[in-house]
Amino acid sequence: MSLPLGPPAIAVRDLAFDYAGRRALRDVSFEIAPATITALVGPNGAGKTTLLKCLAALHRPLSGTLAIADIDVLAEPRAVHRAIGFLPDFFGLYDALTIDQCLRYFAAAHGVPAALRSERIRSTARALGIEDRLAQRARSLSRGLRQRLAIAQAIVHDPPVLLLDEPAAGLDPDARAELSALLRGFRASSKTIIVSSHILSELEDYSSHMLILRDGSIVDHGPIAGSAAPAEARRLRLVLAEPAPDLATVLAALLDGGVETAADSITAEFDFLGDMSAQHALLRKLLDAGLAIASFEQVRRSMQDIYLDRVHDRRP
Amino acid sequence: MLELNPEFRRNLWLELTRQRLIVVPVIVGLVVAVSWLAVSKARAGEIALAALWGLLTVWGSRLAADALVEEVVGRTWENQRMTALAPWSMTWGKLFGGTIVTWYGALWCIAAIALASDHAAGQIARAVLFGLLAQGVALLFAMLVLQLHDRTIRAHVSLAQFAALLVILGAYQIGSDGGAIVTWYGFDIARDWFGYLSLVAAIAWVTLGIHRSMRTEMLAPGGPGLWFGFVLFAALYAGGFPRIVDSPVLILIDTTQQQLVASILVLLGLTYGAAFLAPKRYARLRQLLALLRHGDWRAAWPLLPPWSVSFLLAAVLACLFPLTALGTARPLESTTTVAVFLAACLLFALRDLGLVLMLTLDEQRGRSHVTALLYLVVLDGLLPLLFAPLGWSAALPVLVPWSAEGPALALGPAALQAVLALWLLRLRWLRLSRTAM
Repeated sequence: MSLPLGPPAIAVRDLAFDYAGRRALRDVSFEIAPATITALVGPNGAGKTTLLKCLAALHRPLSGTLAIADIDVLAEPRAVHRAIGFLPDFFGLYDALTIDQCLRYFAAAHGVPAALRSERIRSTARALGIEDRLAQRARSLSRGLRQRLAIAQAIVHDPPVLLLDEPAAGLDPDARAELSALLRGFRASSKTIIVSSHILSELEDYSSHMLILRDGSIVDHGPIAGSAAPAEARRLRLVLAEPAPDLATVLAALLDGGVETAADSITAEFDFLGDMSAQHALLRKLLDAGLAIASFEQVRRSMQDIYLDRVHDRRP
Repeated sequence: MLELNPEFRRNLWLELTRQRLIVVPVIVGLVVAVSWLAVSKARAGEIALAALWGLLTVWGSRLAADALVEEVVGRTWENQRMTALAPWSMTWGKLFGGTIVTWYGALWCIAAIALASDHAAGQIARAVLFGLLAQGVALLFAMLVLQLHDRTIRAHVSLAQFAALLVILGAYQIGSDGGAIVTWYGFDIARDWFGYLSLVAAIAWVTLGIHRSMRTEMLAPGGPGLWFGFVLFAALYAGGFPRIVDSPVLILIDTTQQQLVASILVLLGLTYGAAFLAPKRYARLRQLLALLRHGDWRAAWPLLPPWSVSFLLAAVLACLFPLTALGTARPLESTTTVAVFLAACLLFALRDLGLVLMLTLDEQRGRSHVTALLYLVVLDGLLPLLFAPLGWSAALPVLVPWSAEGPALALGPAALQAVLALWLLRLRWLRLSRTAM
């Protein structure tokens, strides 16, 4: 059973971490709501792994506070370990042990009561699709199955918070697709997850939020749909069936600005603040203005676009 | 129902395989049987005893270090640190679990000794105690080296085994020297019993040390309290042997004064050990200095590096040493000469601490501890040895604590070197501070 969680699931305040002669994290503060999947992204050396290890109570920061599931990470690292599962970027397995022994060890080591252990092992193995391989030794598993076993070890105690560092690294396309499906399943089971990865297209499949780190500082943090636009704004694209030379003038009169029209006066993009009723009203006004509208839709920007905008300090 | 420690059980799965359960007694049985039949029953007992020593100390120390190093190399150590296992469970789970096959073999050896020898209980007890100590030292050493963040982790099993065997050899040598009686603080004690008690104390301290290191690995809060307790114990233990160091200067003073000097010198020796083996995190030291600057001693205590505790204790005792002149009939000059000698020891230790810190503060530099060790071997070992053949004995106070040439020559060069080393340390510190901004 998951531990009860009060919002936020993860809270970090003024976190700083130093390696000798190098500041790896500076003034990092953020909160993560329960039952969300946050993509932790940033260039190499941005501090992603250091941040995850601080959250996992494996690194002691220079200053700042961290709380996971309302537990002070620095004051009670062992209690935090019961509340989280962590998959390091380079993980190892006990190759000589069977999957059942590996899971039994980690279940016991994480304090799962003996009476519940067998059932936890079975349900975890089932969730990871390795239930039929419990008697198989870890050394005989493929790369994808090893990854699944490593995740199973990290979640066998049913932690409410999961930290995954580059979980897709080294996996073939099939195994990556399986991992994505697995993480989508976790999202449905109300776990709070932080995933660090370089493969943004896959993060997009299951992430609800994105936290961008650069040079040890947070560059952006927010829900993926709106993280690159002003609060509550949506990016809309208008395409006309035939060119309208006064397109920019008409839109400028109806909006506050921020309109980009294409050179052929046939398409325009702009940020729109307002709910769906307001968007409907705008469409009616545009039709009333005599524009031959072929399509009027919200622009879905990829994580890659948002990430590149933020890391390179570009606004869309 | 009492449950088996998960770490111990995992080690049982890995180490006590069906094959080993069969092979170990077969080999022990064959070796003993061959020597019994081919030579004599007594010889068979001796061979079984040698096998017991070999299993528990040589192989056992290797397996104990491997219990940790294999986790690090196999990248499973972080998973273990992430569990909710208590540091004690991890300590004894690794110490006895990782070496379980040697204890299994030891049981068969003990059975063979019991069959082949009479009155072997004492010898078995000694082998078992030395085995426990060897395995504990190897695991402790491996843990300490791991926390140095040295990149040559592969070599650590052999290094830890070497360290353990060195300790065992030293302890065995010390325990075997002299007659049947040990004089400690003037009390005559049977050597065997004193040896057993000393071994038990050493095993207890080593086990506590492993536990403390496990706590550090698991980020559990802690401070130098255990180290303080250990150095206090070591100083008191060493004080029982007034001539622990064979220095002519000690002949000048009486026994009580010699006891205090022995304690101070042991504290300084432990300071050197701690300077090399305790983690030296720049960030942690910076945090400590900030707290000390604000006078927040309570928050600063857990961050105090162990070498600073033993050095300060040695310095305090050395400052108190002149007071012992009040309780002795010896001439005041004798106490003064020894006080100058102790002050020189402290200054050279300060120089060496400065050098070690200067070279090892930057975690990005590989093998910095080896470099620091080489520097000290040259400064404190090779150069002084070179002075005598060259006829420069009068200049010895420049390199070693030597009060025979008077206080100025004993303290001046040592103080100058200490200041120079601290200045170099400050330069390194400022460089690290600048790059950390």
